[in-house]
Amino acid sequence: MELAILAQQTLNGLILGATYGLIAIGYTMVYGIIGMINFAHGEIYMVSAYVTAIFLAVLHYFGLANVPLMLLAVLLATMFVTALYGWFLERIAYRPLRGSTRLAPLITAIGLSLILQNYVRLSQGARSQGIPSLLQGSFAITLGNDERLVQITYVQTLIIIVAFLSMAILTVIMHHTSLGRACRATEQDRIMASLLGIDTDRIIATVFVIGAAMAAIAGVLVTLNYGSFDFHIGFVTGIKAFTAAVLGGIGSLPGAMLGGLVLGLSESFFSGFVNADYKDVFAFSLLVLVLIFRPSGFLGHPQVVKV
Amino acid sequence: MTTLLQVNHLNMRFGGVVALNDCNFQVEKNSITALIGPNGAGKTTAFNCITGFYRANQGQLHFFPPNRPSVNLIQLLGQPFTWTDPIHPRRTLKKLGYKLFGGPHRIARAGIARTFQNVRLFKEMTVLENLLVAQHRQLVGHFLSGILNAKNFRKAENNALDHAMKWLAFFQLTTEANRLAGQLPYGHQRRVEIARALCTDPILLCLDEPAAGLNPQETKALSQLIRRLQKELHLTILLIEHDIGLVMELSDHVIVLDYGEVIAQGPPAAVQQNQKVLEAYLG
Repeated sequence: MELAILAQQTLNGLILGATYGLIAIGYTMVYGIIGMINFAHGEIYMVSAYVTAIFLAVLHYFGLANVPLMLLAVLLATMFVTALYGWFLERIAYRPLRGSTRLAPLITAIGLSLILQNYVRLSQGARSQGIPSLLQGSFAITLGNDERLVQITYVQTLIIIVAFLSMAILTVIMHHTSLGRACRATEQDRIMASLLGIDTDRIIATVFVIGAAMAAIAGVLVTLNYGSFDFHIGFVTGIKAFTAAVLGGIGSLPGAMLGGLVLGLSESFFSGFVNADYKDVFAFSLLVLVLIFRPSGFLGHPQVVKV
Repeated sequence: MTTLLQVNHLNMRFGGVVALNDCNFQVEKNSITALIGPNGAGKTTAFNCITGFYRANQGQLHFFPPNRPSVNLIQLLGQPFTWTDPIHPRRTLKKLGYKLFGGPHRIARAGIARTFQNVRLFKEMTVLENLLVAQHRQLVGHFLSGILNAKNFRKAENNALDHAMKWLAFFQLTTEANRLAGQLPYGHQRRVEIARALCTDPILLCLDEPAAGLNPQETKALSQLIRRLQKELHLTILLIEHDIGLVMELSDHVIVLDYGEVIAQGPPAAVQQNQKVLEAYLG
């Protein structure tokens, strides 16, 4: 029995952690490149949940019945729209503040987060919204001769596959393409990069776009899994993803993914074996402990390739 | 000889400190021009203005690249709007364009590359990656083709790799290609920095104290390399140097700065005899 619960909680933790990791990528890349915490990033995730619902409704209206095709279309469209949001925020709110004090973009980010929340509340209503579940059914795995099962729904399988695939693709982009090299160069020495002919403003905008697209993937997957969302979901999830980024070492791309997984797993184990009501307390206590004993996070030491 | 860079009435102030005061000089095409002067004379400031690190307060920097229209380098950085702008709407539109899309990267793309006095390599990247970063604009840096690893992208990437390896071979650094730039010995880092500047395909190469911290043999090898760059690759080189021996041996034209003003210029032998120069150096 214990083994089945352990396996089930590991699975839940991986799913939770993968979404935290996807959102944490946005925090960590933006911090790496301009040294600023983009507190509006959680709201970007929230917006992506609404965009998912809107696109699903639109596709349904046009009578698309093929579920895999529908999911793919919704994923790509949501990534595109949310990336536009990310680009737009950088262009109108952060770029004019480049070169001012460090505090100015931080306060702007908090302001933007409030603006986005209230914009969604005004345009979409304050009540919780929902989408019908598209993928029903689950795999069941028996462990040994125990009659208790480990269940993994199709949506959860999809989350794990898509999340890890997109993390892998991002890693490849960062290490093996010209764009990735330019991102890393801009992160290490922005002025030198521009003296070598790299348009650093464009690279910074691209980083915001990538971060928003990753948050959109998380938004689509979580919305498919839970089915309901409101204008306030960006706050707690954003704080959790930020915690994951700090846990892994802020500025480090593999650190964000690792931090997300560690946070998701520990939350899931704590709520499974100790107390589900106190899982947030445990998650943030973990952050405090890591900050006391390893202030730079798991992978945050200087030798790591950071983005 | 034709002029490649024409500096007119260049002024640069930092608050009340006048770093450059009405500097006028020119750099001839395919020459080695040296900028010398006592400490604090404004050599590095002049360099920073030319390469887009600073935006000069006043003056013009006209750059005449062969087979391309000439540009005013200060304009490329984006100038502030003034009250006369509404009278010249076309000029103002151009200004707005440079304000939105200008910046130091436009100067690099115009064909000017530089190195720094204290080496500024991307220390956490390999030597090869450093050289590839410099070729960012030549690569078809298309996001989607990068993901799909399309054919064009592969081809551009391979060309960039060949180009980088060519320069590594030129500087005898082929064996260091995959080491982290920060782990190389200092002399090697200096050469990697020059190689990286060359990877941007410059017309004018600006070297800020290339011989600083090198021993006599390394300095000699370096001066031969610089000579080869000029002779074989027809580059124009502008350098700041404290090693007067190197300057006299290498340069075709010497410009002497003191207190932000050009006090003498001409061929090295003539400058050496100049009374003002002797006074500036010996006090």
